Amino acid sequence: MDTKHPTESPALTEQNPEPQADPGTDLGQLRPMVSVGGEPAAKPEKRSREVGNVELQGLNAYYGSNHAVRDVSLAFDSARVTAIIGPSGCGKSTMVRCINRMHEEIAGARSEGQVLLDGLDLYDPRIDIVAVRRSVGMVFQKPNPFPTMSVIDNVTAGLRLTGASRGELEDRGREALVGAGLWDEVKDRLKGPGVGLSGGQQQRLCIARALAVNPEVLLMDEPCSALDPVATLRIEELIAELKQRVTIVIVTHNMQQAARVADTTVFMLDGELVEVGPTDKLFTNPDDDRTEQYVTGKFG
Amino acid sequence: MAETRTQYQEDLDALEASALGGLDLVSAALGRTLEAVEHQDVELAQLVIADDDRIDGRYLEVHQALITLLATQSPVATDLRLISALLHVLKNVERMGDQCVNICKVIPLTGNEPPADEEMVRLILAMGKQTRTLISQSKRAFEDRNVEMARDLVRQDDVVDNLNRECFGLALEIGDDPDRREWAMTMLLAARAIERIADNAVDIGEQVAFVVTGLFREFEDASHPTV
Repeated sequence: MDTKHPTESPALTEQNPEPQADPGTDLGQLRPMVSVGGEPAAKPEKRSREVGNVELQGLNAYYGSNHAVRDVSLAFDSARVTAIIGPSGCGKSTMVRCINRMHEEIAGARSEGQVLLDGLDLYDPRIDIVAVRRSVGMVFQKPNPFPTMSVIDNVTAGLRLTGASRGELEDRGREALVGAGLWDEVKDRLKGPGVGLSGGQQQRLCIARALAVNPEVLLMDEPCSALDPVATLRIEELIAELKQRVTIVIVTHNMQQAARVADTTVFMLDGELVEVGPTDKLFTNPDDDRTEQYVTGKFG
Repeated sequence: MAETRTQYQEDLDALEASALGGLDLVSAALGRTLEAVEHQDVELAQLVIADDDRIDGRYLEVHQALITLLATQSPVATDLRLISALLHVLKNVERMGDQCVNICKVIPLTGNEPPADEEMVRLILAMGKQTRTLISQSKRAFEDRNVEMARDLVRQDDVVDNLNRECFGLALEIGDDPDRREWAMTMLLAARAIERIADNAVDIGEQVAFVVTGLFREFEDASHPTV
């Protein structure tokens, strides 16, 4: 693993070991899950809409000599859905995988620049990577429930690592299943195998699993590409509900899906950020000619 | 990147040509209508009325094809604005055709040898000629995506409006003879219909601006005129 990451953030130098919050900002409230030094901070009682702002500053990502993401600076606002669109190989998945530090898990992959979650640099060497992934959950293209686990065990798998009590596991597991819109369908088969569910249910199970650890950000990489239209619509409705609780970043090849679910849409091409804007603007009157060409399907 | 969706693009181009071709049908209908007014030609007027089915048919055919394109191709950005504009253009074309029919319907009411006022007929023919200019200019502005040319339609429309006012003035002074007054009232209806056709051409110009800029603004707001 070759993760090279400058930590020039003025807030995180040796002389200034603790990140500085703006005057009047409650640091603990803003950073409930991730803290410098790897110790999880106290879980907040209530989620603030101010929590879960992600900012990329001059992000570059590489696979060996392949420069996959080129100097991207971009903010993902909390309580909003941001869709990333662009042709295959444009770097959209790579960019998203930098947010929860999945990119560096690939041999030869590295990144430069900053990824800030509520002002905190997630690539700071003192950050606990497990805490990052707890705060920034991810759902993948293909539903991937743990094959040997029951429905409820799948949901609470992450929680069990935190040493939660049995009662707490049940409560939070149920809460997550309700949140993922799956409870009514699986409440009588919680002990049944997770892989026994339909594809759409399995994907919502994976969303429930991500939600169970109370993330601030949920990354979705083509979450509906393996699902039928009805299951896709269920996920899209779920996204609309969840955006009140988590910042959602969704990578999609389906432009109608981006148009339906996203508040903000980002268009990438050849690793570069071409255009960011309100979704309705991007799909009716984009500023950049390359965006126009792509969304109208003139190339791809 | 390879060029894609060529069939879709060809379909959209063909539909645009077909919708704008409706303006040629309207221009021809207006030309015949003016001839019918000039010569009090009731038969020609009947022909224009019957022929309006062609304009209505064009409306239905292109409208349906555009809806199908919306449903099957999910157009966005410029394509979406173009389709939205073409739906408006079609509606305008259909209305323009109906105005020609309205004029042709009143021609028989004036009788075989009406007490026509030459000056008034001259004004109406001038209005019609100017309106045909507006129709062809609106078509060209759309084809060329030329906002400046589209905006110029307002100036051209002012000519029609002024002629229309002159018509009104003449009608007021036409005298006491009931037959002449009835004829003049009928001609005022015709002038009014032509004036509306010219307004429809300006509306098409506004759609040109929408396709190009993405913003819809009335060139002139009739309810808030800037005098």
